[in-house]
Amino acid sequence: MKDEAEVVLKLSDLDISFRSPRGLIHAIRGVDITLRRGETVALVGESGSGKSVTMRAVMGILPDNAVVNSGEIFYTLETKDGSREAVNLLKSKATWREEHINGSHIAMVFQDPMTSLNPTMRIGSQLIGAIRSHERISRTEAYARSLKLLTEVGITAPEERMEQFPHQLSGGMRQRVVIAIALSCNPDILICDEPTTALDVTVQEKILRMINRIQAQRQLSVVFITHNMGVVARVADYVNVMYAGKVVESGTIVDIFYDPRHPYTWGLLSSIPEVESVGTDLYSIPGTPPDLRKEIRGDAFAPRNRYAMEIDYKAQPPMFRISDTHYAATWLLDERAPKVERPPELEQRIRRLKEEAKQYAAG
Amino acid sequence: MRKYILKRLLISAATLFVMLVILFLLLELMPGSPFNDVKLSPEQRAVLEAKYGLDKPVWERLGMYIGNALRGDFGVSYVLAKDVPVSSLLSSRVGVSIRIGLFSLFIGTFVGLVIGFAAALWQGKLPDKIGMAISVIGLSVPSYVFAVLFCYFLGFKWKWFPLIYDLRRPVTSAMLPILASGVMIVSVIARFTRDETLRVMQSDYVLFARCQGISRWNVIINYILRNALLPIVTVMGSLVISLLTGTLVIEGMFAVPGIGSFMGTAISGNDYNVILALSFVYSVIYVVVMLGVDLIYGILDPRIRIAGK
Repeated sequence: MKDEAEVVLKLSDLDISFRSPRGLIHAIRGVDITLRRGETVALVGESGSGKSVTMRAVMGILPDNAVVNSGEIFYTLETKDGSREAVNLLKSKATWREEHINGSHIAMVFQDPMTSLNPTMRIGSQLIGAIRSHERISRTEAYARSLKLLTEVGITAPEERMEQFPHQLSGGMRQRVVIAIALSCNPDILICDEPTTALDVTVQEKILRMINRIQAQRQLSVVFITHNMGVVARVADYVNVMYAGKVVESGTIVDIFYDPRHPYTWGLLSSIPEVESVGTDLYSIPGTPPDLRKEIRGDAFAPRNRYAMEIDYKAQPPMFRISDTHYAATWLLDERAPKVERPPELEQRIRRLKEEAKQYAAG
Repeated sequence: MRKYILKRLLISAATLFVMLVILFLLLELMPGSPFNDVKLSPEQRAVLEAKYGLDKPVWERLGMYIGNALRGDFGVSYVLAKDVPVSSLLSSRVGVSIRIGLFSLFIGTFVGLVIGFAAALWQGKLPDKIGMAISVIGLSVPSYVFAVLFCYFLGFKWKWFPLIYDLRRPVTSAMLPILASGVMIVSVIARFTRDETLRVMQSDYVLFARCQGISRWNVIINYILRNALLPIVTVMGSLVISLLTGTLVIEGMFAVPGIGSFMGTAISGNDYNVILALSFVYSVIYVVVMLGVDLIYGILDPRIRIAGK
């Protein structure tokens, strides 16, 4: 674990609402996330839990009806003379941020490669345009760099691709191009918003492997947004489980997979399909996420939580500290709470996971 | 691209041919004859009809008409200007109508685009509110109401432009008809441009471009405008139809010596050849506009350009 590594991105107490015709939607309710250099942090949760919105706030691309109620997003900016300075992105001007941060320091890859590229522009122009918007280099230099980038993301015959339009490429190929564009100005943080969800499984695996490789080569810090615990296991060092606009459990990948504490995390882990469990019903968390238009009292997960106690409906649980790296927001961790065991099926599953990991390490 | 253009051209030619046949047959269904004068005896009428070949069976006449039309001969007028060739009767009028139509189309589209883009880029702010107010009024109030208002203020009160079309002053005379029919174009284009631009502004590729820190103007021109323009080109095709039907009323109001006002007179006079030629002119204008739309679309949208290769 790289606990000593320097913090490059720190979100604290981020709180965002959306204006809608039927009132304010309180989408993000106090989120804290820390990203260290070279690390991969995963944001996991159901659709609507606020994963994407949180990261869109970092990029400054929230829709016009979004209101940032409070919070700070600090990015550690390394200036040319080597000094480091923490900049609050929420306080900086949009034009400054687009010129000095977006693309050149933080880049983002979206879920759907079919819609992430401009349909009326050639791949080459999109790449060269992205490079030249941050660096004053000639067209020929930018062209050469584009070819290198395309090769880096595993695209064959890059000269040919440069002349093509997005609709002439397959989904996997387009996502590679999107990643090439994202990397074009040497960012140090890459935010991946479900980059493989829209692709088929074999392509998914290739893209994940490519991201892992590039991350290691470039010393990138990565934020990985996903709802797929399998993907989390493949890529993450550190995991933040989000529910209804809050981080409910955070910890290292070992903490989250081998020692989950929040009943929501239990639910997520139990609902991963496994080869061993063919024939049995796949577990799903009962109920639906809460309506964020209404003020939430207590623990947002309480109505879906079979271990909920009276206090869960009255007061929001704080983040209880389990270890230096592991925190969870559930009243079950309060010393006054009755001792609750994890469901036996989950315990079995964790045992199997550990087994597999051992074999994997040995083999 | 060349194959794409060739294919479009062939389709257009075929469409025009079918249009001509249908129009000819439709006229057959019209009651009465060009020689409806009550003073004419049935014998006299038969003589007149024989003179112009109207007594022959319909297929024979159709064949003759098409044969002559291909040589540029659209027959003579029976009623409005006896025995004057239709082509010379129309040539001066077509120009006037097309000039007015094109001007209101281009000026209207340009103004509409500017208003629509401004409204979208400053969504919810003053430009948006003013632009959409103009658009709603322009769409909900019929264009002849504007025509009357323009007549009163610009023509009568301030005397900027002549109220009645004056052949000696073709430019200033065209202003009131252009304004009157342009209001609708501005409103439709402005509304459509705004919605389309807003949609494109929220698209993933624009958000991705912003995440890459691509400069504002680059994003606006290469990412937003270019993609928002595409569907607008299609709307222009259907706007031309509204414009064509609009000229029937507007030209009458301002006494413009164009084809719109002429059409009404020709129909009430049962002047077959004139009606047929005029309807055909309308079809040609429409088909040419649609062809233009397809070609522009091909240039703007690589997905079409390459599929047609």
